[in-house]
Amino acid sequence: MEVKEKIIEIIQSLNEDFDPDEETDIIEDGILDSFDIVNFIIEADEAFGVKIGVEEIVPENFGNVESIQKLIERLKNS
Amino acid sequence: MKQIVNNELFSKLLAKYLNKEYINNAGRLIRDYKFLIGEKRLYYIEKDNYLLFFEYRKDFYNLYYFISKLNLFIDTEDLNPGKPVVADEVYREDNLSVSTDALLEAGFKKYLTRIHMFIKIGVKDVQLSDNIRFACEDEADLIFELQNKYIDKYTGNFLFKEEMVNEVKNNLIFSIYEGMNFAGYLRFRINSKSVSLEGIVIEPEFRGKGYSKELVKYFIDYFSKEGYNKIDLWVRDDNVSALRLYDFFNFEKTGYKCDNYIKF
Repeated sequence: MEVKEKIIEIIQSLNEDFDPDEETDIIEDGILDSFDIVNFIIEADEAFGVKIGVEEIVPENFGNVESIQKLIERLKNS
Repeated sequence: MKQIVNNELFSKLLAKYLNKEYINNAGRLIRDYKFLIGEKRLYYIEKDNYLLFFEYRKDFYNLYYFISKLNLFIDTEDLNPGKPVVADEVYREDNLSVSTDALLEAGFKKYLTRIHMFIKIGVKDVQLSDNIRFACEDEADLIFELQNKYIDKYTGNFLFKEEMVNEVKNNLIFSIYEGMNFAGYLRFRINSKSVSLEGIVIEPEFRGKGYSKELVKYFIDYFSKEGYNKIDLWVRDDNVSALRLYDFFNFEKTGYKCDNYIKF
């Protein structure tokens, strides 16, 4: 599964109303709240083997699926 | 117990424990850690099978835990900082948490339960009632006293005096009046596009007159007008009148619940 698809799957497992085709801001629009973010980090650790640090939890990194994908790819390559 | 002296130490500790091998209740901590470290109120204990964070709240500590799933055990010694310890456990209704047993085993008692509710709001133009205004600074004492009397100090997002004064200064409290008299308040938190209702208290002599309802209506109208998209809140599951009030405004359950545990 592509990184992007897996990210969408994780987000939908935390919030089934999430529609990746809709223009929403994942943090600002409350798609994931702080409880969900903790679970997202844990799921991403398992799915991609990356450690998302708490300092990375900023709206710039969690705005949309593309920004999360960039973050994960950056962490994978570091 | 050691103090968390900077954000780097916090990030380093979390990197070790934020994974599927550990259970945690750290949602709120991850939202608030920078502020708590800045205020020098965050401490930790690290052992082989757990990491515990303690938020100092003067009369008690809030506990944020990371416990190994393979060894769900906390040494009672680590939970006796000389003041009561409160632990919140947030979970989805359909997915009961596994850490309950570890907390009970460590001497915690179930204290109370809250449920999470929300409504979507949208831009609308409304006429705002004129007996409600942002609280003014000379009401901070009154509001603080009302909070002391009627909000649970361990679990009700209870504020210190200086925090309450800041909330008033930052326009995060609405006051309602009967004529010239202060009758009660509604406190809230503003997020980027949503608002959280943090608490409502009406003075006893003004109860039964619909003032809570007026405050909530004003709150919804005010933030609808301002273009916010959602309101959320936590309400005690035994607070029948509050549940009825939120039901009146069509708040829905999100499915999240929070059990509070306490160890005196």
